[in-house]
Amino acid sequence: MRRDQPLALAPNAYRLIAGCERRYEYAEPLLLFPEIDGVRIVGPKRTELLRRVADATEGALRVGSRAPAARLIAASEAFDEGDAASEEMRDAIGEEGIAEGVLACVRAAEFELSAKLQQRLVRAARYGKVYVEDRIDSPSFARALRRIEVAPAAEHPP
Amino acid sequence: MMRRLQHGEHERYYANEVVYEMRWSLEAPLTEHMASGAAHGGPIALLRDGGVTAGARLLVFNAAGAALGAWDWQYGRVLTIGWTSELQLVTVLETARVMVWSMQGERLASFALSAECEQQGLLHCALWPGGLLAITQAYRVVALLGWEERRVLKLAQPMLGSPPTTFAVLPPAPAAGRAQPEALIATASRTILLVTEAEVADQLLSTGPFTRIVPAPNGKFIAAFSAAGSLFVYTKDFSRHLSEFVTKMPRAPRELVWCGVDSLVLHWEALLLMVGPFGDWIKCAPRPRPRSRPRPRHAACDAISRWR
Repeated sequence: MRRDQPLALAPNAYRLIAGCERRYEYAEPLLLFPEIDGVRIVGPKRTELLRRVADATEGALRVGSRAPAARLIAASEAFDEGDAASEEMRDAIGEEGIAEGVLACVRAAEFELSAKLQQRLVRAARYGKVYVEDRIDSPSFARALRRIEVAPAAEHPP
Repeated sequence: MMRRLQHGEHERYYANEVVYEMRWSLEAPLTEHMASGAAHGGPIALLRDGGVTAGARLLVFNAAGAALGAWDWQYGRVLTIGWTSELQLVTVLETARVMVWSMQGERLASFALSAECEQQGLLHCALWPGGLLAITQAYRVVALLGWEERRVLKLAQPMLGSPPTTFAVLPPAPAAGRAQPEALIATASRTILLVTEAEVADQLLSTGPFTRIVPAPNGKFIAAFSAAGSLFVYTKDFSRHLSEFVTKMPRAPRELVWCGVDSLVLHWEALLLMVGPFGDWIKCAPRPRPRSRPRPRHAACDAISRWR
């Protein structure tokens, strides 16, 4: 299982792929099955899911993104590292921005297959939520987090 | 890995992620099998060579390639296989016999589509989770609605002079105002016929003959691949075409599928091509092998290969 490897997570890959046109060959033919959110690509060795990156994910993780979610992640990670600049970063986002960022992080986490990246997004959302408690619908926030926990739990049963 | 596709003024990002290392070990290449994968990451059914070779077996695996069932196939040539919404496997034979199986190979039903179909034999068949639509060898169009109640619906007769070059089914979609299934039939005269229960409507195209037709999952667009190697995207009423993408490929793709409603994926033996609705495209492969010809080094490529 290679789900945890940062294939899709490499934030810099977003930027890089675009300018990098390469021709590829297949070693093996494949089967393609349409899915509701993309295409299941089945090969003899592995199955991949090819799908559109959700707008929320793109806003949160694209390099150079100025979306509130991306700034919230930066602030949350600075906070985790004990960096005093995190407060400044948080203030710069503004209360409205934090609320928007929290929702976007949760939405992006819901689309995410990688547990590692999901955790990163959820951590940022939890960090932000504390500062904008009254702007966030807590029950729906909790429901979303419960949904998010299902995928990694199914993959790594206790 | 992320890739970018231009959508008019916007850019859309796509990612392919490994979700399973397959546990199966197959005796023959995947593409020698007739295959069907149930929706939502459901089970995969494989049948080698359409079930005509001696010792053919129907194989059912879960999405990760673990065997769920396997049974000998001794019923002759299969036209198509597919999954019902209850995850039962449907096999349709050339003789118009329909068999319904459990995942483990228990036969749940076996019936003829209709006496007329049995007499004529089937030429093409397409399944959706709630039924099937078939074209007989005498070019009659018949649909079966429901696997339990099995209502047979005769559609209008398309009066073809030669076999259809391809066809697609538009399953019933009450929300979109389509109570009954409809068929899109591509003809050698380069057009597409929309066949409903009441009538046959020639869409008056001249860009065919088409070798693949695939409606978008939202029913708003129709993708059609022409024998000349162009991929067209039409609005569902064919009143205008949104894009034409010239692939210059002499053969029809093995597969043409929608990736959501934003783009199309085409697969030939050694190529996977993704085309956006406005004609932008990317080529990709799960296990890329770069060309042997030396290419200018690109910092970006190095950075990407780090992530593999």
